[in-house]
Amino acid sequence: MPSPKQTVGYPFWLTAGIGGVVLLALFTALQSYRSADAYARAYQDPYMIQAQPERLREAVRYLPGKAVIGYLSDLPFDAVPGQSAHFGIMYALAPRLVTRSADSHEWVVGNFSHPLDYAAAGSAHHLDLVKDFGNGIVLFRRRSQ
Amino acid sequence: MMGLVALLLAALLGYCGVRLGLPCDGTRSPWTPLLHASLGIGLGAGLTACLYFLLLAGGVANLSVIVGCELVAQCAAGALLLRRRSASPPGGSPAALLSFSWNWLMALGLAAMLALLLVGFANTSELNPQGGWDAFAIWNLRARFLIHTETWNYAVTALPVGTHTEYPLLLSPSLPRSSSRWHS
Repeated sequence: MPSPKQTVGYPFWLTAGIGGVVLLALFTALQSYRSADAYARAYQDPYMIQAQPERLREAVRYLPGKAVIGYLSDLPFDAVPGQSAHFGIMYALAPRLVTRSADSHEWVVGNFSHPLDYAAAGSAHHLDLVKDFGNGIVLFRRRSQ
Repeated sequence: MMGLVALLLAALLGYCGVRLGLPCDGTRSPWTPLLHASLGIGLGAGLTACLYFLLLAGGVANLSVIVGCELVAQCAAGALLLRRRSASPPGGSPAALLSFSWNWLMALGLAAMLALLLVGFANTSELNPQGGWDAFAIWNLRARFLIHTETWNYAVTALPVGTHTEYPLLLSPSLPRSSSRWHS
């Protein structure tokens, strides 16, 4: 048997107060929606994360599927561009793990912001250049001892 | 589609868990199932994420084992719920429900906020499918590590500098659990 329903009457000031809170909450939700939408439109993929799988499409074929891979770049890690470049590569190559070191792993991915002598850059870390894929992506392999 | 099915399975398990965990009284409001369902989505996602992580760490996380374990848990929770329902005393007179005459305004507000949330989430996801910094540097990255039995430990070691592996995994295991890779 359904429960009997009783409507409770509250004083007007309480009902009006609750109504005010509901309206304020709705207004805040609308403002939050607007600002989130404006931010998302103004900053679409500011760190170019979406572009990394395409940059690395060829290089991925050379890399073992679940390995730990080194990283070499001309961008320092103590600034946002260097960090975002590293995270972009790490995200695109996951579940491989891309460390910040170029000195301890067999395979090393180079991610450069401008053209330079990649072979010399790798050589400083005892790495041989395997292939330059263009667009700043270079693959190195550790020299056999 | 696979992700939606995985989410529904998790939500159903969570709903049963909430129903089992909360005391049942005689004064059930028509809003109670909605409250239970909303709590159940969170509980179910957490439970299935923990289960997935344990199976992954144990090296047995493949589609049939994951689905099998979840179905067993679902059946057990459903059976317990039915048992408790049939064991509860049939009766007496149910307590009177007290109703606030402006509940319709609350319902309208809730519906409007849900609509804003869904539209906002869809827009933002479309504009930035990879999410913000924390998404690609922490949560989704760790979810990608949790795809394979051989790489899950990358998500909980200090090696990937800057990915805050000291944070709890939270919902990261839910993503590979509902991943399309299980199609194969």
